[in-house]
Amino acid sequence: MRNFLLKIVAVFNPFWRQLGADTNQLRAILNVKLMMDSRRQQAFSRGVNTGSGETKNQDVISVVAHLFFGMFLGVLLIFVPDKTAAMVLYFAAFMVFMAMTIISDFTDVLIDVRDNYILLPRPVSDRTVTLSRILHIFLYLSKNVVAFIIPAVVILAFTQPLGIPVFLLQVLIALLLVVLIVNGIYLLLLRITTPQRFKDVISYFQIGFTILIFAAYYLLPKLFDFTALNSAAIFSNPVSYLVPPVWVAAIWEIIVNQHVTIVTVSLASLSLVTTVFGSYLVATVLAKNLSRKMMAISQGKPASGPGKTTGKSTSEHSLGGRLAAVFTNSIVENAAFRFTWLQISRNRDYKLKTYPALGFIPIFFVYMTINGNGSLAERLESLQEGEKYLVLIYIAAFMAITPLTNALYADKFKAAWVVFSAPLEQPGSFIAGAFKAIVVQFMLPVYLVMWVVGTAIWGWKVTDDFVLGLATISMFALLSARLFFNKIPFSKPWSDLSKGGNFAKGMLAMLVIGVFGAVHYFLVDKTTLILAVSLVVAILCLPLYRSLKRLTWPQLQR
Amino acid sequence: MTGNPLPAIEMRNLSKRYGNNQVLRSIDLCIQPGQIIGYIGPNGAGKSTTVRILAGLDGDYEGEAIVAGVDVKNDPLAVKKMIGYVPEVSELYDTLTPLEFLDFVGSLHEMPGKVIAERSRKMLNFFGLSPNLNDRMDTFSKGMRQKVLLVSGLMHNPKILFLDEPLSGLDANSVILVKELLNRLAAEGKTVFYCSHMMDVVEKISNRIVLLHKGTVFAEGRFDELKERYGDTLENIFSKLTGSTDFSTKASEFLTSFED
Repeated sequence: MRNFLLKIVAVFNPFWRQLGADTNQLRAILNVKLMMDSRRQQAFSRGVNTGSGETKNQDVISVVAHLFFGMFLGVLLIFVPDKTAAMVLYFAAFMVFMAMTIISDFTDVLIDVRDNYILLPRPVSDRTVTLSRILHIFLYLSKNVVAFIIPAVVILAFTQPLGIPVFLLQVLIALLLVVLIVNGIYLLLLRITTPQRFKDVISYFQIGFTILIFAAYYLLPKLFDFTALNSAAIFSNPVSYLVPPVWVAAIWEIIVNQHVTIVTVSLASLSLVTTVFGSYLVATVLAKNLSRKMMAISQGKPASGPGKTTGKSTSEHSLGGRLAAVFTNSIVENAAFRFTWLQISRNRDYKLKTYPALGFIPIFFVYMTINGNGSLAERLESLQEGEKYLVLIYIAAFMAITPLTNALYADKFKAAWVVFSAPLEQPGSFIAGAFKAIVVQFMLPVYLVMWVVGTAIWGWKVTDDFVLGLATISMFALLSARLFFNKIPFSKPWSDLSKGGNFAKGMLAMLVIGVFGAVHYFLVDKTTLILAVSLVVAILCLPLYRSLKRLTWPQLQR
Repeated sequence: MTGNPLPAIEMRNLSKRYGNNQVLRSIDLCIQPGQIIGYIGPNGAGKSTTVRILAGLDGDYEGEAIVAGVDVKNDPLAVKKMIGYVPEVSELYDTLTPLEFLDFVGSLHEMPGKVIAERSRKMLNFFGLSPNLNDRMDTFSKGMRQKVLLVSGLMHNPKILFLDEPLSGLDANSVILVKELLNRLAAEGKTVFYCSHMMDVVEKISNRIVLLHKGTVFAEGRFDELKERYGDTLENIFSKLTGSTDFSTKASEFLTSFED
């Protein structure tokens, strides 16, 4: 498989050379990177520890998830009568999906610290390094891409078998566009900020970009009239010229529908030109001095300023310390709470991986209010009549899963020997303290804000629902903790976190939360019943919490 | 070689700052080929920073840094081709085996595959890693990793070697082995730029010692010259120069912290 991929890459060698890369070095780097990717999975399936096939499972989950969403979107190709319009929607979703995967799972590949010590001291040009990164991501994504497009290809085989080669070309271009856009923006940021600030900037950028993508995806259907969506409307609307999926769809319009106009040809060539010119731009202008910038990032020595603290942070008077006193009741738990509190507030790698995954929350917020017809006041009124506060309630559940699972990993994971060598009788109390810190920092504040917003819009009648919500998502958080958080926090390298698993796990959580929400929906308006159920759920939380807190060393997954 | 060889390493007025922190303060040094330079100093003196600049990894400095006639700022790639660099941090792609890793590194230096395979086997054998050629490095001890790192810095036969704490984690026998190796390499005309705070090693193998303190060259010369000037072993010289001699009092102070 690896050799096959490398051969495909080698086919384009003249092009890579044109971009200024050394193809021998390029091959060597890609070979090693792909080898390491495959090792990562093998390391788990070798079964060193019993029952730790997690990474592999996550990989399978990721492929299945892509297959599923590919199917869901492939159906568009059947039901939207105008096939070019269907292509616009399909590739919009496709590109969003791939951009999400890159951002949430691939930042560590784009900024691999080890490269600084292994690649940079060698005579490798910046262009070669940049190109190898882009191609690595591209090759890695191709697995998910194949899963994603299979349903569409099957559908096309029945409806328009001749369109399949065109479709594959479109997929290739769309994928290249996404990789280039994300890479280009990263490199641009690397150029315009100081290295010391880069990591901060990029985490804000990631959050912003995630929000933008969600916004775009929700707004794209609003841009056009969804029911009367047809290619004529798309190609006559200048706004749509700015949307890359439209460029990709134009290829279909030209080749399959033989609809050759200035607009379609320009848009289709725009997609090709952007790909070629984009690769050139990324490999030459943006990659200039990349290695030095990278080195500076990993050195990252802000001599003064953000690195300094007030010195209060370890004392009981700091925010974390005071919260720890409220929420914990043993020395170990308290220590774990304060330790985790500081880690999750300061660790860039943690923030970088966690915040983007939470970026969609504000979008839901906005989407709920702008959705619907009529003036803003009318929409608010119709909002008040519905039960959409349930969405508000269960949004906070998402605040549990990603922050929790990410807290198992760290760049400096080896530092966890401190915990392993400490005389802890029950690591469970350490884990419980860490769990509480995460819940208090992420889930609780969001939930309280949602509660306030919910009460502001719907009035006091939703109080019981928010009480039940608190109980259910607490149970959900405990459940996730017991299932996924049964290790010492910050003791695993990020590479153990399957690259595709992040997003897939979120999807799984969405499903569970959906079930909770559905049950809740049937209880709405039955206040007594709701309060009774809340009590039951709250009581169910106790044994869950106890089993988390009483985790013993043998029960931990190393 | 012609009669008047180019200096292997030249630093003129080399300065470097991180923000407000002046790490290097106008360093002037000229090093001839075939020398082993012991670049020593206490923690945070600026040793690793100097090496990173000379190895072409940090172009953000003032003054001049020239390696074998090439200005590092102008053409870091040319410098990287000539030198071998063993960083202080032992980062490896540790899911690979040593052979795979060295094959990778060799390829980056455009070495033919056959040469790489032969050399890396021989060199790993030299360090006693023959039984581990096909083991993944994530199972390796710190010393074993350090050996692989050393081989990765040497295998392309560089003219100039930058070694940053190259002996960390090595056992006594390996330390002797490496010292001997460095002497032989220097005898062949290679330049070794050796960074360390372990003075006892440096005093034995270096032709010339450069003592760095707070980003400036505090003293330099041959070991016996320094000895004549300051007496006794390097360690004492070192503590005299850096102005902290009363270790006994300090140790007592440390112990008093146990008394609550």
